Amino acid sequence: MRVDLTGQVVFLTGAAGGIGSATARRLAACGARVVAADINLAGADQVAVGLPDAMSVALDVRSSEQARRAVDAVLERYGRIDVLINNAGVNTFKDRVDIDAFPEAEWDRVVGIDLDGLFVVSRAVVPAMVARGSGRVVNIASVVGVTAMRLQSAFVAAKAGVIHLTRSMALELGPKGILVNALAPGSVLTEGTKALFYGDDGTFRAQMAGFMEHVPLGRPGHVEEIAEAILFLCAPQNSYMSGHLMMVDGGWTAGFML
Amino acid sequence: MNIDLAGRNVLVDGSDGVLIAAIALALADNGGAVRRIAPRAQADITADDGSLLIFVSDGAAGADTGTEGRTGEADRLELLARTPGLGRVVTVFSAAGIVPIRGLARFSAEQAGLASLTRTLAMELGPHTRVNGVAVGAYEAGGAVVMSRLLSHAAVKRPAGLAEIVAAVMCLADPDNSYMTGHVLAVDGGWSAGYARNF
Repeated sequence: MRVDLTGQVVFLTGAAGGIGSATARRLAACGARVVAADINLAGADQVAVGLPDAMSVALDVRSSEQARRAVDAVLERYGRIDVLINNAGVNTFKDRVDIDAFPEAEWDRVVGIDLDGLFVVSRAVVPAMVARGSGRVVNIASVVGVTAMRLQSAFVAAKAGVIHLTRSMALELGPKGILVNALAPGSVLTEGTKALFYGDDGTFRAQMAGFMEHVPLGRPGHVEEIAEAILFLCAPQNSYMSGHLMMVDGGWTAGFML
Repeated sequence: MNIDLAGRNVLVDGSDGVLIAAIALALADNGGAVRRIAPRAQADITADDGSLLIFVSDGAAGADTGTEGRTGEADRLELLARTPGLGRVVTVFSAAGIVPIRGLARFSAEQAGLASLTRTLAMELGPHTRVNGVAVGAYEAGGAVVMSRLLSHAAVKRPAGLAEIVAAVMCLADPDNSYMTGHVLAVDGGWSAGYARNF
């Protein structure tokens, strides 16, 4: 897909992660100026340093004060923000338990970053778009926001919240010239999840092989494939989609694989 | 939206109209060897590896033009999609297949059938063949607005231009877009996202 984003400023949260860094590279290759925002500033620096006219900012998405400072810094340097990609997110890996045992602090952490953080950052960035009468917001949700899974209730609830918040934002911001969509990745292969999927011999672990039987494409996605779909949601030619949830899950949620 | 379809055969099925013409033109402009399937052609379709099938329902031309879906559209889609060798299928139909419309019961049900078939075929034809759809809302064509009754309810307070619908078809036809299957993109200005009227 060849898309021209020359001159556009993209504010990308969670930029240091797998999907985040792939997205930064893909959009920058199309001419975008990427603002790599991450709570891990060193990681964000690494992403930004390789990209033309990019910058990095430290951002804990739970902090409206940090979000405001980041937006001020971006506007001071570029004078505009065209695209916001709310990509920062966390899941529970240590507390895989049912809701009756789910630690309150872990609930607060996951919902605080995945849902509250998305609200906080959007609230800080959107006024710059409203002022110019145009903009794009892409919220990164998850398949679990559509199809619930066990042992991660906070993540499931937060991502379902992201999906419906996307629709609400689209209804509110459409008349102001801003398109808002969500993207739900399925299983994605990153450095972090590689060991989860594959054994030392390079084949699927038994549990994952069973899981992949439910995915029509029979494999996890690559971060570049998620970035490609995000690019479409940012493309100037794609200008009549709003309030939509785009599934990039290899067909996992299309139906029941009898 | 530019994609690389060089060397790929593209089969386009559907009744003549401005939307299908715009889609076919864009596919050809991006390097595809486009061939319109003859009306009612049944068994003469062949495809080599990596070919695309674009199936445009009459429903995408809108119920308020008096157009119901062609009789047997679902049967035809299934038959064509099962052509051995196809790499991709893109279906195009009305957003009434996502949210049903009062007074258009049969139309809505038929279009929903195409949406469901798009997903089912993705499961049955994967991993080799990717199957996705585009559900179109109100759009402008030849000075008229097709499905104009949707507009008061859309977040983006205008009909789509043909190029905006074409962009979504290009996204789903793009060989670089490789992890989407069984999905229906709504290109409806937010019409199906929720209740957009002031009250």
